[in-house]
Amino acid sequence: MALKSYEVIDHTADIGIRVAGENREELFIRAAEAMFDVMVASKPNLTASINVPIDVEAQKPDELLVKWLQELLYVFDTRHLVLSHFYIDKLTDTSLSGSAKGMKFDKLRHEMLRQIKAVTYHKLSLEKAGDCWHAQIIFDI
Amino acid sequence: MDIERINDFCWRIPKHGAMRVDGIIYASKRMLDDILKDESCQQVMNVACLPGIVRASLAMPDIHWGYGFPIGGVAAFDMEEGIISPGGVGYDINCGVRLLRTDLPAKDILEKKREIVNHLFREIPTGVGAHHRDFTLSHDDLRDVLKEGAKWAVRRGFGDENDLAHIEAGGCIHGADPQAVSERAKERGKDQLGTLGSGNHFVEIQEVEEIYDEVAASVMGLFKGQMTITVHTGSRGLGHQICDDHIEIMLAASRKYKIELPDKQLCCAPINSPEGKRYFAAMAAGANFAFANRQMITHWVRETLEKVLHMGPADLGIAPVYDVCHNIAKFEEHIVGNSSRKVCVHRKGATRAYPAKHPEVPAVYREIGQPVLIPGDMGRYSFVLVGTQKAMEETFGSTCHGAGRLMSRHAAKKLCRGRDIEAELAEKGIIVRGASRETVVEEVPEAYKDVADVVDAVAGAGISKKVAKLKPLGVIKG
Repeated sequence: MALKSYEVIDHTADIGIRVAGENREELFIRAAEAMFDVMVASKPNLTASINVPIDVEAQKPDELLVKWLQELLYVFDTRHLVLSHFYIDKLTDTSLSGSAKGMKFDKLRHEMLRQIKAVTYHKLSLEKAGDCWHAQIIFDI
Repeated sequence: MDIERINDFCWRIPKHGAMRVDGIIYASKRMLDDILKDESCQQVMNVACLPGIVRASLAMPDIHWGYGFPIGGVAAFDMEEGIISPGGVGYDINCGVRLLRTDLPAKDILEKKREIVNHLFREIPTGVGAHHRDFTLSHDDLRDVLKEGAKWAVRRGFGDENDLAHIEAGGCIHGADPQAVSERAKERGKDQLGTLGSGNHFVEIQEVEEIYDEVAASVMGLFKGQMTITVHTGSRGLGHQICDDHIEIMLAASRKYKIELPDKQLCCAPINSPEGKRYFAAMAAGANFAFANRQMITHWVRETLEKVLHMGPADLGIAPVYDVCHNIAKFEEHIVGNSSRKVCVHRKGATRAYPAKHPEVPAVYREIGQPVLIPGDMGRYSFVLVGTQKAMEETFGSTCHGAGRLMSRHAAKKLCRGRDIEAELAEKGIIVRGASRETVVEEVPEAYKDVADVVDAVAGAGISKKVAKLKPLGVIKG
C-alpha cells in the first residue's frame, strides 16, 4: 500500500492495528489490507488474479471482524495467496459475504515480513464515533 | 496497583475486587519495575478472577503482556469447579524447547560453523509454504501423528526409542482425539510437520560455557566446551487453528455457563463440560503434533551434521537431553492444602519443573530432577536448570520459559535503524540466517530481557536450580 491507512499498536510481544472507515464495509476492507501489509511487502503493480469467495458468520459484530480476518489468514496459510483486493457484497451484524483477490506468494515479488499466527479477541474493539467507524485488533505473532 | 513484597524474588497482588485468589509474581525488584510498565499485572489479576482457580494466579519472571493470559503465567484449576481455557495455553500449542547433546567439543566445529548454519537453513524448512522435499504426510499419517506424537516419528524411522525417554510425557499427551481437531486445522497443518515456523522459533548451535552443577550436568551428558543444539518450535498452523476453532466455541460456552470475562480472550468452559473435554482432546492432539515436529527436526539436524562433518551417528552422539512444553494445559496431581488433588495446570510461557524423585521425571533424571530448558536471545546465552521441591510446593511444579520480550517489535525496529544486526552478531562469533531481515531485526538481543536475570530470579526464589550455561555459535530463524 502506498499510504498507510492504519496505525500500528505497540504491544510487547505481538502487533496490533487501529483502523478507521466511513462505514463498516470500508473498515473491514481497511483491516484486511492492514493485516496483509503487516505480514508481506509486495512489489508495486502486481496483478491479483486469483479470486476467493469468503463467507463468515459470528455472534457479534466485533467477533465478525475477527472471523473475517481469520478466514483471510487461513487462505494465506493453506493456499499461500497474498490477498490484496477485498470486496464485501453483504454485511450484517453477524454475517459477511464477499471475496478477496490475490496472487501466489512468490519470493521474487513478495517479502515475508512476519508471520501472523492468529487474529485474537484480546482488546478487540469495533465502534462508531461521530461519522466514522473505528476498530482495534491484536495479532499473535 | 497494590503490590506487597513476600521476599526478594516474590511479590503479591492481594486479592481484591472480582479476584478469587491472590496474584503472585516471581521477579527481582528491578525486573518488577519493568513488569509494571505494561499490562501484564492486570492480566495476572484477570486470570485470578476465573472460576475454580486454585491457590493463586502465578507469573514467572519472564512475564510479559500477552493476550488474555499473560505470557509467563501459570494457573491451576479445580477439576470440579474449575475451567479450561484455550487462552491459557496460547495459539502455539506445545510450543517448546528440545536440547540435543553431542560428543563433540565445540572447538572442533568452529571452522565449519558457517557451513553448518547454511546447511541447517537449507534442510529445515522455514518460510511461507516451506516443507521438506523428501517428506509428505497422508491423511491417515496425520491422524496417527495427532494420536501418537513423537512416537509416530520414531516408528517411521525419525529417531529411536531413547529419544522418547527424554521427552516430557514421553512425547505423547494421552487423551488426544484426532476427531476433535477440525478439517481446517488438519488442512493448515498437513504440510507443516517438520518445519520451523517464524517469529522467535529457531535452531541454534551452542557451546556449553559454564557448568554450575557438575553432578546434574554429568547425568545429562553435558560437559564444558561441548557442542549442543537447541530446537525451539511448536505445533505450527495446526495448533493455531485448533486454538482459533476452540476460542469461538468457548466464547459461546462462556455465555452458556454464565462465566464473567474481564477479557474475551480468557473465554473458557468448565473442565468437565462437553466444550472443555473437547478442547482438551484437541489441544492434546495439537501438542502431539508439536512433539512429532521437534522429533522430525531433530532427525534433520542429525542428517545435516553427519553430512557436513563427515561423521557417523556413533561419533556425533547426538541425543536429546530433554524436550519441554511451555504452552500447555495438563491434568496433574499436586498437594493443595493438606491433600493431594488433581488439577488442570495451564502453563502459557512457563515450563514444568518437577523435582528429583517425582514419578513423572524420566528414570535417568530421578536423582537430579527434571531438566528445564531456558533459551535466551540469539546474542547472549541460554540455560539448563532442574526442577525443585519448592516449585512443587509453590508453583505447581513450574518455572520460567525464556528471556521474555522487553521491547515491542516496533521499538526493536526503531532501535536497529541503520544497523546491520547479522554483521554485529558475526563479530561476536555468532552466525545468523533468518528467513527475512525483518525477523532478525525484531529478534535483536536488546529486545529481550537478560535471561540471566530471569534465571537468577527463579534460582533465587528456589523454584529451579542452575545446571549449565550455553552460548550461541550459530542460529537459524524462521
